[in-house]
Amino acid sequence: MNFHKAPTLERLSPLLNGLGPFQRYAIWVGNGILDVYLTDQAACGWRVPREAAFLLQLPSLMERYRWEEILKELGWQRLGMTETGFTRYSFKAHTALISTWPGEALNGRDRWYEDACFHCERILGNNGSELSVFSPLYLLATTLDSLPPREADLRYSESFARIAYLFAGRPELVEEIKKGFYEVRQHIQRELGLLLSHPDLEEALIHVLPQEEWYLSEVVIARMKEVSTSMVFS
Amino acid sequence: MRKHNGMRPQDVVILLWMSKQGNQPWKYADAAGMLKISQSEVAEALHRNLQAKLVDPTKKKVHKAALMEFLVHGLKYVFPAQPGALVRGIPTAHAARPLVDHIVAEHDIFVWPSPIGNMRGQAVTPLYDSVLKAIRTDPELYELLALADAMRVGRVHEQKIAEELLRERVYKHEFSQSTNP
Repeated sequence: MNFHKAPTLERLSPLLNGLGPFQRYAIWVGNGILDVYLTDQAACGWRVPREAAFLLQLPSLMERYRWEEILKELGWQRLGMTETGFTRYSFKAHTALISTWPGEALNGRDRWYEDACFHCERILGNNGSELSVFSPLYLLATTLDSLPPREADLRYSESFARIAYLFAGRPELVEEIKKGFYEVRQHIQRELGLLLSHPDLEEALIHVLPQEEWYLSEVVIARMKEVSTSMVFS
Repeated sequence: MRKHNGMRPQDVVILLWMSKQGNQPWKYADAAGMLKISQSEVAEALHRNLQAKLVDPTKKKVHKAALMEFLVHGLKYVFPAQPGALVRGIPTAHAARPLVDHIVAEHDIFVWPSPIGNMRGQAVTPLYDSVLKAIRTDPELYELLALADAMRVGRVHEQKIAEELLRERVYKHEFSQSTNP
């Protein structure tokens, strides 16, 4: 629950209300949720995309077959598909990306989505609206999975930028990782180890962090190192 | 042939203006009048752009692929900008259309310092001083310049969206031509 960032959730209210019976199955994913998790009051803000992405965890077989039809009945208009397996919809003056889980989100490639959906957190807005989101731990795990291949340029990776902002703006992240389940901790530790050995890491951090706050790259690297060198106990 | 001593900011402004002209014929005087710069500056800028292979030999058509390559990969290194003090001004980058429709940034605004501006934000120096006058009558150019600023000062996800929106606009005339019978 995070009251500090409640306006973010209020901004999503029209979309959530528009989801009707699907609202309780919606999990908010994508770039926007990072804003909720930057707890450091002096953190450099994350500019949130207006287009929110939702996963619908549909419980019944009937809804899995008919979810697109039901959305249409609720007034949603299908605009097209994205590369990541989400469908772009417009609802009144808003647009959103929607996919189902299990389903075609990330073309089924993300191995942490199942655990991330299971260990979702609930956030509460000032207006009483509630929404499930990936916890910081699983946000990090899924984002590490979506990093570009080692030879690609980190400076242009949105996933890398997300990781950098999360480490820079959430001091408690290191402790949260240490308290996480063994498998996900091991995955994060291994992936961060690989990231730390990337020859362009420092340059890429200076590139993705705000220009006037380049010194944060040292903080990010120190926190990543703390995670990657800490012991993983089962 | 005259020596190329590096690009100037007005070269980019002219390229953006030319890209929006599409196949519409234009004269140096038109460019000078619209962009509020002298005709000799237009001629010089086009000459430099020709040497950089950013325009065709007639100097009337932009090489779109080269322009996109330069905007995406070169602009931020050749004409970097650093947000400065809080001032009154005209919104740019993610605070201006069309990017403002894609990014939420109510309290984190970049502006071109100007007494006629209607917003308060961190000052970003425009590519060229005369653009503040030129955009008053040319909203399309304003959008292109704001997107170019997003490439200069934006963060990764803004740059990605800005690239997409710039591409749409730079290639707009190609698409409209090919879809018409």
